[in-house]
Amino acid sequence: MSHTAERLAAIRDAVSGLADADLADAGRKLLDVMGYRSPKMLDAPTAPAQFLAALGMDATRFETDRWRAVHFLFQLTGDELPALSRGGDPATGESFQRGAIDSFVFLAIDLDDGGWSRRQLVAIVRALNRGFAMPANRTR
Amino acid sequence: MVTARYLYEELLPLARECGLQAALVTGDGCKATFGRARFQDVLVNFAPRAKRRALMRGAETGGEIDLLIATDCISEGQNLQDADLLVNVDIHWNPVRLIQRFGRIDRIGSRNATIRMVNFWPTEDLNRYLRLKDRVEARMALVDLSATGDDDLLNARAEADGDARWRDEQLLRLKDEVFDLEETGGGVTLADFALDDFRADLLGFARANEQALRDAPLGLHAIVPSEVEGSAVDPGVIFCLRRRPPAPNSEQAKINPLDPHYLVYVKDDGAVRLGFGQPKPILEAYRALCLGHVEPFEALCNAFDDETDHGEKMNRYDDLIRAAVASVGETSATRTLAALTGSRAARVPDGGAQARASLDYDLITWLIVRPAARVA
Repeated sequence: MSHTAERLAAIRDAVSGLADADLADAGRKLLDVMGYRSPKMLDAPTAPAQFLAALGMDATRFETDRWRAVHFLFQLTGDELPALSRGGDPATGESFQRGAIDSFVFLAIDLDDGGWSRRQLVAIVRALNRGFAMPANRTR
Repeated sequence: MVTARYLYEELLPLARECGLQAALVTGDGCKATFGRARFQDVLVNFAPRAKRRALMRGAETGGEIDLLIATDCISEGQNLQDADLLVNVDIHWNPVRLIQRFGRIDRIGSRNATIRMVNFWPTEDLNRYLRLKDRVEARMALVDLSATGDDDLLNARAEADGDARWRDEQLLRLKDEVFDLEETGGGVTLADFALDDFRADLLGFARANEQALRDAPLGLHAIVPSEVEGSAVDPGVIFCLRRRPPAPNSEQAKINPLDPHYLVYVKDDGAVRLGFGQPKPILEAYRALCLGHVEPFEALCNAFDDETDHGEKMNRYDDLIRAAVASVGETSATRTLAALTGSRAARVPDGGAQARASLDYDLITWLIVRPAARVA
């Protein structure tokens, strides 16, 4: 379908938009073109130390001196998922126990320009996931 | 109860030796070495100032009780701020109970320079104790669930887990500090936080003045001196704001039991003394500042008129209300975030139902607290 090509182009634009100034807006836009959107946004503190403190997480477990900011993009819950499924299922059916997930939390972390290995990025996601009661996904 | 009685019997000789009066209060009965051994008499003689013994007819005023050993039957609702030391001999698994006990002596009107709480922890390794407790609680929760025939076993279980985790964290924290439970948030609304105490006070007034209250315009304000019996509160303003639109939202209500209303106490320098997460101490201050005053404080009103040029120059108060709104937004977002760690079923309210800093609020009332020096 031509939809696919259009969507790919839109996703490509959104990904290159991530380099723009406002990571929160750009992050939401990227997720939006992929079909994920939710009114459950939050003006959570963006300073990494404050953000982690609100979650009751130990900031020393993260290299927060290399984090510029954390943005809470939105939470995707059962209110939004049925609508989303019309545009395309969230591809979690095989990798997660579907019944055990009530919602997803989407965060965007602005990391410094130094090198980041895949292992380091995965470690951040794992550690954040332990802090939330639901899966957290991060965009950068 | 057995422990309380044992402690009383064992400590009595020592108390006598030190010349102290002692008493025992349990659900079963009371004992006292001074005054009548009845529930109310014992409490009055233990806290004669807080209980205003001097105004009571026929009260024995020749002494007072120094050492009171009691069960949880006095852990709620009693004003015992004459005392300055609380010892928790048995650590209750629920931190709310411990804080409530401390709340008996940690109250507005205390004349003590310091007040202390001493806890006898069950073991040096509190984590081990909590793990054991959790295993017992998990069993109990399963029994509860199967007995209630609840269909939604997973969710009910998740909620119970969230509560248990929160309690454990607070209990561990209590080891090192005494804190205000309402500051902790976590999105857990415990029935123990109910503001029934105040509701009972207000109910009669609200019924008698229903129409006047309904007709009252927005932005009503009053000015009171900062001195309350025996102590003073910080000068500043206590704002009562209502978010727009005031449509109820169940998620937001978990963050603020008074939603859509938000109480914030801002000091004169713009620092937030108490945010909306602490409605109880704000209302306690309100009560201490206002109860019994039916006439305006004329000198304060005149000073306010001079300061603001009869309400024309309100810049200072504009700054304070802006600080209050910013605090509401920050606290609401932080508490929502914290709630997401507690329960899998926790949800962020839709943007329109949140108390955000960028939102418009109705100003319901504001109470201006002025230092007494200006009364003259």
